Amino acid sequence: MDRFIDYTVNHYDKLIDAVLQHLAIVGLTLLISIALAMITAIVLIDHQKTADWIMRSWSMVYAIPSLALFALLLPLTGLGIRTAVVVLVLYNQYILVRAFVEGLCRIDPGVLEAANGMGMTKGQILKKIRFPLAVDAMAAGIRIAIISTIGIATIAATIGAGGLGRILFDGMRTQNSVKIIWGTVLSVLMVLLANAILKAIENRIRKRHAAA
Amino acid sequence: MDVYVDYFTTKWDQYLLYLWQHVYISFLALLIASAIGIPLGILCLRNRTINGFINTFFSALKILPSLVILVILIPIMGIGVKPALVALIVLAIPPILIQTTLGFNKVPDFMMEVAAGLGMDEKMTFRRVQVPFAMPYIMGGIKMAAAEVIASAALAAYIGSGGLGVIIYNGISLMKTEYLVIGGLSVAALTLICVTLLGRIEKKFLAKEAI
Repeated sequence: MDRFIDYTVNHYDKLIDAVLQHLAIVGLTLLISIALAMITAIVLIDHQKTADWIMRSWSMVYAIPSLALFALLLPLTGLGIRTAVVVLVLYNQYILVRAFVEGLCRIDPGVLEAANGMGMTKGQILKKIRFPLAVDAMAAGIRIAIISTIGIATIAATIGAGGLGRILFDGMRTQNSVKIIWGTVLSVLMVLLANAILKAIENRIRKRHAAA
Repeated sequence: MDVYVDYFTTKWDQYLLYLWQHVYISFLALLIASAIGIPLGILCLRNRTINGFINTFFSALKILPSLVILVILIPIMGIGVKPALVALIVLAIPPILIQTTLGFNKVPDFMMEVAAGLGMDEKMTFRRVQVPFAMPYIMGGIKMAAAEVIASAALAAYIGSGGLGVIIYNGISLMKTEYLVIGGLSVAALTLICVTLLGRIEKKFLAKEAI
């Protein structure tokens, strides 16, 4: 117990750094992957066949274990945060593109026809019909992507990206239970907090939907 | 290219050993996880209180990072094959359990009524109607678990369980590109092959159902 308090008092800055680094990796990954997935989904709205094909390729990428993908990209992009973000963005594409395409395409054809009949252009349909109706599905996809990114980002410590994984791996290597406990508690807290916050946002969106 | 040829000519035995360790620990973990997850899933169907409890517990477990589950056992069980196996089993149970419950829940009411109308008792209905119907879902769960387990078994190399992860681990610490490529491709290929094979079995069960 003494060791635990000692470490915490003396090295709390390291813990805070790790949390911030982790959040930075997750945040950067999300920004890039959401933008990329959104563009892909919008382009694919009218090309169902291409969409199926692309989804199948992403699902193959998604099946590759993260440590393997980190290892394979390491010679290309080098050690550090860059490789981590590239891999995490690749994984997120499967989750996000699927959620976005499903949300944007699964719209009552009657509604689309009515919009068309009112003389809306494609851009207007996208902005005023598809997006508002797809927002639930997209929010759910983003939540799953965030949870999985927080988890896989811990593994990115193996390639020197820092974050909470570094505390976990350090603890593992040196058999230091204080580090193991802190790493575990912080990652679990981050996942649970993110999950709770995003679920609350999802519920609010759904309620607003139901009201409208 | 030479370095790859070199690796396989000089270290072929070692490579086979790592591959075997990887397959062995993954298979064992899946087997034990199925032996726990499937009965628990069926138990969930029969008892609402247990269902609520188990479902909350395993949904929480499912969102935890796999690295955390591997690491947290070190203070309790030390390092080596045993804690790795336990962690892999813990990781594999949620998908199997959830899919089992889902599969049994999806049996249409009319099928149960027909079975009752045919005079089947509870045991027979279970064996002849419910189990065949739920089988593709259970296989789907095992497939998801297999992907998770093979991936995490690579990570488990860090806690001393051996396997293909060791090659990746050595590649990172020695900065040897050929190790990274060989290890990474091997783990990726192993996962894709297993997932495809299990997907085939799943489809076979589905086809049977269609008849």
